Amino acid sequence: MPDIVKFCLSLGLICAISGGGMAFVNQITSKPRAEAQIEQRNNLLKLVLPPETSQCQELESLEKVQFFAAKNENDQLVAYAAEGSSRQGFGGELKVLVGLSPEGRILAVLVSQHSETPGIGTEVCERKQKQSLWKVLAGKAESDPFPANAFLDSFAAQLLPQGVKADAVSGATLSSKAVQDAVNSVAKAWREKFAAGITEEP
Amino acid sequence: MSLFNIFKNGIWRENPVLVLLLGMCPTLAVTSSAKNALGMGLATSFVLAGSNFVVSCCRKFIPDQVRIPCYIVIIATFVTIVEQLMQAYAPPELNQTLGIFIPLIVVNCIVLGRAEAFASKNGALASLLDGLGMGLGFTLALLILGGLREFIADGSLFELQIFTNWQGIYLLKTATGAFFALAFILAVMNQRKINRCRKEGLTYEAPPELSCRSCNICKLGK
Repeated sequence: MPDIVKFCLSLGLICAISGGGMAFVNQITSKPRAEAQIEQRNNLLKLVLPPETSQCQELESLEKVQFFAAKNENDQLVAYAAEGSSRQGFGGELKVLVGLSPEGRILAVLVSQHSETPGIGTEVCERKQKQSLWKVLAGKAESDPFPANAFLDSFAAQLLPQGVKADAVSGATLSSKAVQDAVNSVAKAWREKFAAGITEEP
Repeated sequence: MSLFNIFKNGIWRENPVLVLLLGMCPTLAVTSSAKNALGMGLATSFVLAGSNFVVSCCRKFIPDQVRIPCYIVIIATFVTIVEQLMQAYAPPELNQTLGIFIPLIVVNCIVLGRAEAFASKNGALASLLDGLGMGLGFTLALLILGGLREFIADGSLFELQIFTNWQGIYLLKTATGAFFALAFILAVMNQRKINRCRKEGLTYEAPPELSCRSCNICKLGK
């Protein structure tokens, strides 16, 4: 058997086994992965919606932007939330969750899924809390469920229908632009949703 | 070499970052804080041990001439499977902290380097231990670098503020600062080795098995 055939066969065999293995794992994990993602999203939704929310209802999605309506105990609409995405991130898809007041003012922005470089791009994605070591040792530390992030917080209080702006963070320009792009995808969907009059009254 | 020595080798004597200078890209990029360094180190250790084991098990079936593409396929498959299993079954906190490092590992040259330099020539158990040792050495080096950078830039460690009125040097937070910090660490290490040799009246030389001539990865010296 000529060598080249042997090489092709062994490399082909390894690729086939690897491909089969990945397909198999993909098959068996696709359902639990989707469930874990939805569970994580629901946990994050609680953070971007106002505290008086008692139930959150999924609305229709528009151009891949999923809208949610948050109601209080008396079944009144208190806020909307939307999940938008962008493919302009440094490491592929980036998703943001945006909490919105009923007239379209941004309440809070959170990056729910990303694959930016840790330590560089994550500067604009993560909400990290810094605690004092001495307070932790003394047992006086309080954990803040929604720590500040200067970049993400600069979206707050902007009116969504007019489009949003935020200054990119130096060192993380691409990731900043991706977050902005994802929030703008929500803005675009919001404009269409209300211009087309397909909003459902709660 | 005994199994324990194989394990110990990667931690200090052949430390992948501080001695072999492998995997510089993630080393410089993710060490802006001690927490990131630890996450990257642990995720790499796991993948390194696993891929070393798999490559060592397959080494007899892989023809020498196509070994590199085969190793790359095996490593990429292993990393993808680990990522999907983690997304599906790992606790969400673990997935969030370690999951972002996984895509960086596929192209990490320590993983390929150890597959080529060690796992392709040694048994499965020895390769597993080599992977673990190298992974721990990588974690240790990253922790030193990450801790130093975070402390100088922010006056904190593992996101815990130690000094409140710290006049931090922002440069250390950027990738440029990572180069500076790594260079200083390497300079201190080399000076220590040189001093130790000078005391005994010798000139310092890199151990022969670590020099370019005896390394078999690119076969430059042969």
